[in-house]
Amino acid sequence: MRNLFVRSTQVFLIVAFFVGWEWGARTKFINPEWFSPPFGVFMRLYDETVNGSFLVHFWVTSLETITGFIAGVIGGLALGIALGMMPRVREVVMPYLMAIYGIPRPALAPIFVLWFGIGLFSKIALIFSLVYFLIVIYVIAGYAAVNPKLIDLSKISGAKNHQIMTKIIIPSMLPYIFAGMKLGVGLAIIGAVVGEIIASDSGMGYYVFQSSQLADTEGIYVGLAGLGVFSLVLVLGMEWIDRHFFHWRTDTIV
Amino acid sequence: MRLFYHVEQQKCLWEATLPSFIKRIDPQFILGWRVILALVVLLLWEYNPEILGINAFWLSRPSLVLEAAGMLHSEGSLLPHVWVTLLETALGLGLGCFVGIALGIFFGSSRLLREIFEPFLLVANAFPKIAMAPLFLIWFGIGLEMKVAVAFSLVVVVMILSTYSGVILVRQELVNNARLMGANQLQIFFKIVLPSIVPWLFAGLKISIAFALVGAVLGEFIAAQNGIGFLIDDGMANFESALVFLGLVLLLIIVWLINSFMEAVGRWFRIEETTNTAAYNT
Repeated sequence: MRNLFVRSTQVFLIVAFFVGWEWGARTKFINPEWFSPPFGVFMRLYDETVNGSFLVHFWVTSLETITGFIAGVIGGLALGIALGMMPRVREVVMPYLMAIYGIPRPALAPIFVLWFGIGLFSKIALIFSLVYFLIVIYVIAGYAAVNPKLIDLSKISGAKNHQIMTKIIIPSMLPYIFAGMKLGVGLAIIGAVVGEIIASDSGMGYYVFQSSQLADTEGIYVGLAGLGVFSLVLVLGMEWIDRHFFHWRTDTIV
Repeated sequence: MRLFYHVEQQKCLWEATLPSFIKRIDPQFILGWRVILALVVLLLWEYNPEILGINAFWLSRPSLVLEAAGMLHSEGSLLPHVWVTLLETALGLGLGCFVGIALGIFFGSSRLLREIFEPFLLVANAFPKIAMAPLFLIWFGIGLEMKVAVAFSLVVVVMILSTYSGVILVRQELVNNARLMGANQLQIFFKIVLPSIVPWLFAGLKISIAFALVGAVLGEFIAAQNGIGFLIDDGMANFESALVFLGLVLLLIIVWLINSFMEAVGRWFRIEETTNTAAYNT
């Protein structure tokens, strides 16, 4: 009963929001130059998806996000594990890693445009830089969280180094790596959007920015809707994986 | 997240196979190695055209960056740029914290509200709010308000979520005890809820400051006449890499100062670290 009430309230809120918006914009109660009616936005999103003119931008953004994300995760894992195996080197570079991690890194986008031009590669490089350091930090945190008693115990029982690595260290690190990846997906989308807004000729961020330059509010909402769907699918997908595969995690992270 | 701990306690597999120059790093001399590393990187940056044989345009040089800073300063425009960005950050942060904390307390105050609004909060967190900057451009024009709006949109969701996680984790037995002793709602709020959520507010604030700065700078990328973001964007548009790096160095210094300040505040007031697992998105 209570659940039904909660669900129906949620549905009511969503419906009321969109109906109010549509009605307000039609009757000019709210400025339609600022809030273009959602039905028109939906129709245009549908039309441009079907005839492919929006779909192109969608694919470009997905390609950048996923390529950059995977590259960043692989690179971050490599450096993180390497630093984990060399504690002294890690201790030396740690403050610098934290300093780089601390810069508002979406602000690095112009550098990548200078270096790699306005094409796909500058966005992939930006996303890589965003995800890479995040994963490095999380892998190092994961390394620090491995219970040293387990390592001692398995050494006494005669485990080889690679066995300790695959049976103890990597399983203990997994939740941390995954927590980093969950944050990383969000950052990767940000990177793609920021890169596309700053200098680009395709992608959903470009679509939004271009529409705003043409004072085409409907176009902005179309782009935002596409981005919203895209990021919701990715972020909620990661959330789902987290709940299904890492539910055994008992400690809290961060 | 615990990152620093004593080197000697760490387990190092494959210690024997490490190259000897790494094994020779003396744990007592870590600080020395840090300084050496910084010097090496600075020297490499300064002399990268000579050593690596690449054009000074790509990486610029510290001396060129300093020169650019000196030139801007003599024009009297360096500090105004910094000041504008800080003002936008502070306004977006202040407004975002105010609204975010209020909404966070509201959403966390009852189980029904929590159940109704939780999916909406998750969606708001997952949405890349930075993409709304062009929309704010239409709404507010190219002035200060647009950057404040971008910073606000990033901060408000973080503050709602962190306040909210604090409120729902307030120890119920404290609230019940206070109620038994006859405290009214207002007293419960000020004596129990508010003090218990301070660590969460503080953790949210630390993240929010960085987000507000990102928002302000990105707002300036899109349309501005001044600010650090404008400096970087201008450098990019005119292929003056020294200006781009100057902007980034300024951001680095600002972030470093703010982080040190917040850490000092946290230590001074002994604010405990939260165990917050929420993943915030810009």
